[in-house]
Amino acid sequence: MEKAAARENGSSIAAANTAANASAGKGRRRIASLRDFIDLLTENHQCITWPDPINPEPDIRNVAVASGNDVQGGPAVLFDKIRGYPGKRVITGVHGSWANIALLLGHPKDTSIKELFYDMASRWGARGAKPELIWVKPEDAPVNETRVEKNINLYDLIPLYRINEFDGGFYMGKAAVVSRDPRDPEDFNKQNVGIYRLQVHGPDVFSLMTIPAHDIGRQILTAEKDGRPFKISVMLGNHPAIAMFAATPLSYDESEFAYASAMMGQPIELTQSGNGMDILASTEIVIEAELQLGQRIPEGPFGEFPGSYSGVRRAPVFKVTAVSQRRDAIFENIYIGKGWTEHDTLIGLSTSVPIYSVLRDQFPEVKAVNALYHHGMSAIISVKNRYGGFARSVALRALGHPHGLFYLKNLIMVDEEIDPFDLNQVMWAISVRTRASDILVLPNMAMVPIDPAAEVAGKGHHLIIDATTYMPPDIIGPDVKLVRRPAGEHIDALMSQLRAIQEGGDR
Amino acid sequence: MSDCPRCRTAEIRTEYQGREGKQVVWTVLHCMRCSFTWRDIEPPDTTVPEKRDPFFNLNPDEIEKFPVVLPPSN
Repeated sequence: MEKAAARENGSSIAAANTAANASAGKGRRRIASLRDFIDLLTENHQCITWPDPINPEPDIRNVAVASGNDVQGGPAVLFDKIRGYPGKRVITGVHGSWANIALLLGHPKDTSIKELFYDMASRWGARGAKPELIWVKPEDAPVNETRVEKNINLYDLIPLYRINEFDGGFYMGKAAVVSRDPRDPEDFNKQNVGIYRLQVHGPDVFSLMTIPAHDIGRQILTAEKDGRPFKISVMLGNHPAIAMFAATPLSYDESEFAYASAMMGQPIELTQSGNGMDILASTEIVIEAELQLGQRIPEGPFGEFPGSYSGVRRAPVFKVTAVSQRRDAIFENIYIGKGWTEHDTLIGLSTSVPIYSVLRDQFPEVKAVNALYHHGMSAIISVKNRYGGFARSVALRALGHPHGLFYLKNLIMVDEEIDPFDLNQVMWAISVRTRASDILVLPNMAMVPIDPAAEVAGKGHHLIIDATTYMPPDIIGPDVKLVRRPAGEHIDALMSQLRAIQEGGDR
Repeated sequence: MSDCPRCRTAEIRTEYQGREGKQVVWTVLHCMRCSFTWRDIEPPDTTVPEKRDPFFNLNPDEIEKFPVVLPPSN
């Protein structure tokens, strides 16, 4: 019953904020590393060890996809019997299901996506929360348990494999890359932590895919223009908050480490890498590398999140100078490609919440934003309609959001009582609340270049389906009256009671 | 040693050999021309030129034509 009440409160922002503040990290189990999170997942039956010997390809890919097909409850999978890699370990799907995301955020694994959304939204609202960064001496940091500086061979040190069959090579798809501003290397807050795809091109060579708009893209161009050395540390197998929050767009001078700590309401332990970057002390593997100024190498294809391959490009090249690892290190990787994949659960809430936050500043009528689908290429916004046409104005504001400009391709607007995370409700709204005149298409707009539907990469449409209720001055048919469907706390409580009876528990 | 499955040139390098005990169970190869990397025990859809989707094969003479993601300043 308490659970049902909390769920209902989830639709009220004030209540959600109160609940989140009360639990802002306090009383939640502390997660300090990937290994801590694996323990938590394992205890909740959300991480399993694959029992059989496997080949790197196609077996890791196949098992990862099979697990990810259960979007709600699929487990992370640890592989420790990889043929040709005795003693080496790979893990996929750490963020691959809503159950795993719920556990990361300190909730029971059956928590609804809507509840997780409101929890994330309240954490986002508390961005000023004080981060707690703990500094560990490099000699005491677990990541430095082993270190190689000579005769480096990434294929020997890390159990690398091909993610999708036509990828150009073996990718590290979930690497958090730390770099410093080449012109202001002392400024901690200008240090960048970002997730970039890395393709291995040789025993000590890899490429990094980025664009000028990314922080690291800007840094690479600056370093090359000035002729300055540019070093990075690549962290693999990280505290699970880093992948979840480093993917969130922050302003250039916000530290992703501090942000992750504030969002988790827990301390983050850092140390210094051999080449001077601040890194997670308990990360599994750290690759130190240096940009080869002016060099470019054919990168790709790579199966990307819209479910299509990005083509071959010539990308910046890095040479590895050292590799530090924990003993029995775990190489964490992602399956990404035709959805649904871990990429979608990993960044879905971090995509939805910033759009929601911006919209609510100007339109408190906005109740929730579901931009879970392929980085927001399709999204649903629920809003309290004030007058006929209002929801469309809100939709246009969403398209003006920095993420919306390039990603919000198909946008569905629904009423406040529709849960945008419940697609049955969304489809009902579309079925009964749209007319041809409720569909707006803005053709020939800027769009994320890797949309496989694009006729010209970088251009596309915005489509708005206004599935909100007709309101004056809309003309409404004279004989229409909707059924009042019983809803609210009372119905939620009855649902809980039904579930309990169904599962043989007490009434 | 065979040609590159992707661009068919013979500029191939051995990167690493995976072992079980003393036995080599696979070899990772790399094309120095088009930068394709593969393991010799991968499924033929990836490693056998005739079985690959030709869409993904490259002409080794056209590699310089691929777009540069961050054109170097200098």
